[in-house]
Amino acid sequence: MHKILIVEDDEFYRKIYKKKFEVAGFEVDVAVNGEEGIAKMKSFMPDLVFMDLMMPKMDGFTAIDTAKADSTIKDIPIVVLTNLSTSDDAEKVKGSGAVDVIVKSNVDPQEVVDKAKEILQK
Amino acid sequence: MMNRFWRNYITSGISLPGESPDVVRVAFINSFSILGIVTLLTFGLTNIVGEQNFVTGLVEIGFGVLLILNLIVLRVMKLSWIPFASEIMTISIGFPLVVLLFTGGIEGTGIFWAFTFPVTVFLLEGKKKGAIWVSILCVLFLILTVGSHSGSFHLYYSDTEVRQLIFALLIVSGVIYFFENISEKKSIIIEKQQKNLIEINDLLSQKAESDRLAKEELEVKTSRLHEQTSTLKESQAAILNVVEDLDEEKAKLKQKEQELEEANTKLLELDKLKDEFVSIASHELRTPMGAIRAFASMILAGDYGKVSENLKEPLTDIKTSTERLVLLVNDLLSVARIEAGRMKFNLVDSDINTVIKNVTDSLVPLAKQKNLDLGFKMYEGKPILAQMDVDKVKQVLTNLIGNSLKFTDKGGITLNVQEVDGMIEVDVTDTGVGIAKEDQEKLFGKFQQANVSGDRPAGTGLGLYISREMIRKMGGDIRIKSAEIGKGSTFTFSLPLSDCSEAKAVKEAISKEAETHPDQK
Repeated sequence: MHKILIVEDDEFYRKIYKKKFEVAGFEVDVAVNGEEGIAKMKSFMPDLVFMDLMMPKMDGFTAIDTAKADSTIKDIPIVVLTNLSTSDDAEKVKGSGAVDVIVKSNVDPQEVVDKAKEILQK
Repeated sequence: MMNRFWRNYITSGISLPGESPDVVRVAFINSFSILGIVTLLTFGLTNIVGEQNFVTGLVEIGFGVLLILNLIVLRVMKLSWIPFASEIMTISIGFPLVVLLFTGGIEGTGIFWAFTFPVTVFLLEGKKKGAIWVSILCVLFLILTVGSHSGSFHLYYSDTEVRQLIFALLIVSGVIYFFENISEKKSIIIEKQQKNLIEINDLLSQKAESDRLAKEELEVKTSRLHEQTSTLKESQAAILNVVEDLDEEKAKLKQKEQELEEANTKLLELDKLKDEFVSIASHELRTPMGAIRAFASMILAGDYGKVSENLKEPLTDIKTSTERLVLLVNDLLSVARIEAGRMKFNLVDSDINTVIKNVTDSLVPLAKQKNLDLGFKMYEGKPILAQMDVDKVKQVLTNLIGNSLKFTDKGGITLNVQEVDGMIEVDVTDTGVGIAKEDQEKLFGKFQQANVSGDRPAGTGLGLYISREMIRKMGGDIRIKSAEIGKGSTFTFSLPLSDCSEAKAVKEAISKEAETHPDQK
């Protein structure tokens, strides 16, 4: 059973993706900000991380940078799951080390699950 | 009448041209010439009639006539053209003297002529010339009378007396000539000096005149200079005024400039705030909208347990409405960025064939849902590089193909690529409902949608507006190539081929725009 970590400050999205991935048969854990996300990555050791960008305490970009600098967790793939505020953020994401970017409001939760399956199959 | 003529003739006389009108001199000359005429004619007639000496008589009459002619021609008619006029007259008067000296005249009156002749000659010829004439006659007489006692010439008067008289005359003439010559030379010198003086005087007066003129001119110039100076002073004052005014204007302008700069800074801040507001608002809007959509979708999918049939339709409606709302917010965000000039274009040379293929591949499932064909044949079968922002072009293609899918019920959509004048043109042709002529241009406006029959999913009405703005920013254009109600439509957009001048110009313009919005990362 693959383990998924959802790093998301919005309560409803945490609920949505936790439920969706559990229904799809994943083991799911959640974190509410970048800082907690890094801690959970180390303790939970997920197979895949979905990371929001705009979060309190530590934002997604910083969290990704921190993860990539930590040898124990740097190989865990991270997918950015956000509602981009500007098109420039998309540029930033491409250079951040994230494997993909998904705009939350534009996709159905099922597509997120499909994307996770696709990445984990590789 | 006669008396008056003669009196007039003798006293006032008639002078030769060039002679001074000296009354006494002329009276003498004329009196003696009349006396000479009478004497010559009398002696001549006496000699001829008395048969004493015929030849001498004829000569005497000849000279008498000559003297008359002289008087008439020279004195009365004043004909100046006769040469040697005064010389002829002198000889005419002098000749009777010689004759009288030989003949003694009528009872010894001939000696009287010997005194009157030199006076007449001097008066007639002037002192200098007269002296020469008298001397010539004296010498002639002396030569003629050399050895006269034994010769053919016999003098009426005593030889010695006449000779003494002639010698005296010769000496007097010589003395007169000598003094006259000296005085003439003196007078020539004086005349010369006088002439020089006159010339000098002339020069001086000319000089004075020219000096006066120069002075006048100088005065005129001076007054003109004064005028000019005052004019210049006025001009200077005017210029100073203007300069002052200009300084004031400059200060005002500077103030205005400062005000404008402040206003501009405020506007830029406001603009930035607006931009941030739009970004944040859209983000904040999208988050709950996305959540609603996700919940609806998951309930429908049965993630929360079995859904009763009667709830499926309203749940689907919630999901669809939310999807439309998300699209609308996305498009509004794009419009806001375009209108603020803050849409960023990442221009790269990309293969248009690949871009189209990617888009059509992703949309084929959607076409299949409606049983429509979606075809694209690679142009030339090789990469065709055009300058574009790939994401934006994909957005435009998705929008155009999406519209075609929406308004086509049977048949399909085909894409075509061709090169025209350094541009790549992409045609999106469908077999759909077509567009009425009057609606064609309107479609590119904001919130414009085709008024067509049938039940079709509503769009935001911003897709073509955004597409046109983005394509134009990339140096191309978008238009409806052909469309007719019931016969489908063809939308065409263009992009500059890589490395053409158009492409370079667009790239420069884009980078320049980025410089004017440095706050936009």
